[in-house]
Amino acid sequence: MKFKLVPLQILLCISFFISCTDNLNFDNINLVLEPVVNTPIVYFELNQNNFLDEFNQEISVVSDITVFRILETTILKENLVELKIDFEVENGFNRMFLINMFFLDDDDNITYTVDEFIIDAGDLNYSATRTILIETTPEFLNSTRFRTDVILPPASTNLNPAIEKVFKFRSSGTFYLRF
Amino acid sequence: MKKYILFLILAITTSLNAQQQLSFSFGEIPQNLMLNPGAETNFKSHYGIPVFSNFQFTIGNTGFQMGDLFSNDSRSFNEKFEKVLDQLSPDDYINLNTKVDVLSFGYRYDNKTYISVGFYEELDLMVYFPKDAIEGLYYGNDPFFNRSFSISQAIMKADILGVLHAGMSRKVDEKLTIGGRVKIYSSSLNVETNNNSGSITTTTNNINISRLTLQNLDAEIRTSGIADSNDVFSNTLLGGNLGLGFDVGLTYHFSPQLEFTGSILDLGFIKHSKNTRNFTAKGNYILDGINFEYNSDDPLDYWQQLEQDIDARIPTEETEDAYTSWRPMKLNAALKYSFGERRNKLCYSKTHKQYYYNSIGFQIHTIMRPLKPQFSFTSFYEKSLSKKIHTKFTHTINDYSAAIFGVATSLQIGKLNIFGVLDNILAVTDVASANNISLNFGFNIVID
Repeated sequence: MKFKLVPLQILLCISFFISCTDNLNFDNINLVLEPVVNTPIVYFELNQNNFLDEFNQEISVVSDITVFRILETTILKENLVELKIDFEVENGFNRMFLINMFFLDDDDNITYTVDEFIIDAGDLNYSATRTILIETTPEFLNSTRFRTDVILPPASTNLNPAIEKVFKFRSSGTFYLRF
Repeated sequence: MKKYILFLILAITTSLNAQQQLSFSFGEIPQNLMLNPGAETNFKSHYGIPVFSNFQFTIGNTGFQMGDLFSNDSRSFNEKFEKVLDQLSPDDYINLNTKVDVLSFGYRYDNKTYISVGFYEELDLMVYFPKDAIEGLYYGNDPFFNRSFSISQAIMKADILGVLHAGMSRKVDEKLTIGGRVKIYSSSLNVETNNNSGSITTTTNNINISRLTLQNLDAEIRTSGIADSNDVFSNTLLGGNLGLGFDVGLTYHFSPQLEFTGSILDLGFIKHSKNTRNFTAKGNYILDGINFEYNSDDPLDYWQQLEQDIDARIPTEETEDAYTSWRPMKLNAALKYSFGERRNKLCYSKTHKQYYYNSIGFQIHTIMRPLKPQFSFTSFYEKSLSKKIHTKFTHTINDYSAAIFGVATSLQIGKLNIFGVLDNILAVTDVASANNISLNFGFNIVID
């Protein structure tokens, strides 16, 4: 019995005592999540009739607004670092346009103003990017509404309701998060 | 005596990587009856030390090794995580299982019949790594335009239950022993999701710069016990959702030296009707963003319109319907050839059993899991060092690794039986390379 047990004891002792965890480190577990999420935002298509009233007089500004609630979610409110908004415009009019965009809070206070876009007449490939850094613009997180104003400045060439013209606007947002 | 104490300490401490299945068809331990109700028994009765008659803890995953995430080097944790994520497959899973025999005892009814009863608590968690969802959460969708993120990879099952059981092992003749066990399950917590479908894809298109498409979503999560989680453990004492199951097994000697053992365990179900809460979502949706219409005469609430549209196209439902969950059935089988020195052992009622000091063989173990069976193949060599001390050396191939070497021991000190299983010796010497860690030991009073 004495001799029979010795090999097993040695084997088990060796296994136990050489068990090695020195090459592991559990103190450095610091996982940082930085997902980048893309989502479409607003798009629209305008024609000449949008800029003419019932008397075929030009309307200089058309506006629309939407509520958006995504910034009310805790995940975005606490972890959004940066929002990059991409814009693409096709201006089929032989007139230039200005586009102003605003983020507003529940009380209609402006929380962020997107720099004005100037779209030249006939520019079918206009694109631009605006970046909102939350660190420098924390009030942006109070935004609950988004408004766009499309401005048609006066010009010598008047709009003709019989000739179809199209103005296309597209936008998407890229949310940079950090957890 | 010191020798036995040392052996006892080693049996406990070195069982840190055990797999209970290794003790299938092994030695003289009463808990073998839980793996094969048709196992041969050579004792008059047994009494498990409450809570310690069989304690098992196993955690393992097939996706990565400990060192892949926790190696002590200059790389950041994110770098290690990204490498692990890259090598993960949707078939990889993490499994956590704990089983504690609260009560266990057995009694020989007559020379051919052994009856055993008991109660154990079990926690079982099986989660497949939803690689697409993890990558989506970690990286976001922006780097993956045109890639389809699958929802069907979301598969998991979690159970906390108590099992009251009674079994009988019956020796039919000198060659054949059969047995069965009836189990009453009392589930206090169950969460499961499987057979989901659907995908999410981000693409470019002409309407807006990007488009999100949710296609063919059909997902369901079934739960019971979540709403009453304060009573998780008390509900395992027949206060939860009840179910019924069976174990069957046999031992057959083709010759005095060639033995076959096999068993089917947990052939059963649980009917969940109390404290159930189920969630479903179905539908398709394409999101191009908000379409401004510039209609000043009739301004629209675009956001409300969007929410209503999503609700209409992807209806979600929360119900308290009853449902049935199947227990993960296990299959065990072993073929053993004994040889070498032949001895007689005095058993119950002054009968004698002949046995050999050496044997070789192989065994298979399969658990039915939600995605596919979890299979392992083990070849082994058994050596009895004396009438009281039995050992088993194994090599196992399974989902975790193809090189798992193990040792099992069973020791009888007076009427006290101690067993421990050390599986995966290589992992003990190098934890960094381990996919799984488990603990299994037991103390029982055995009356010959």
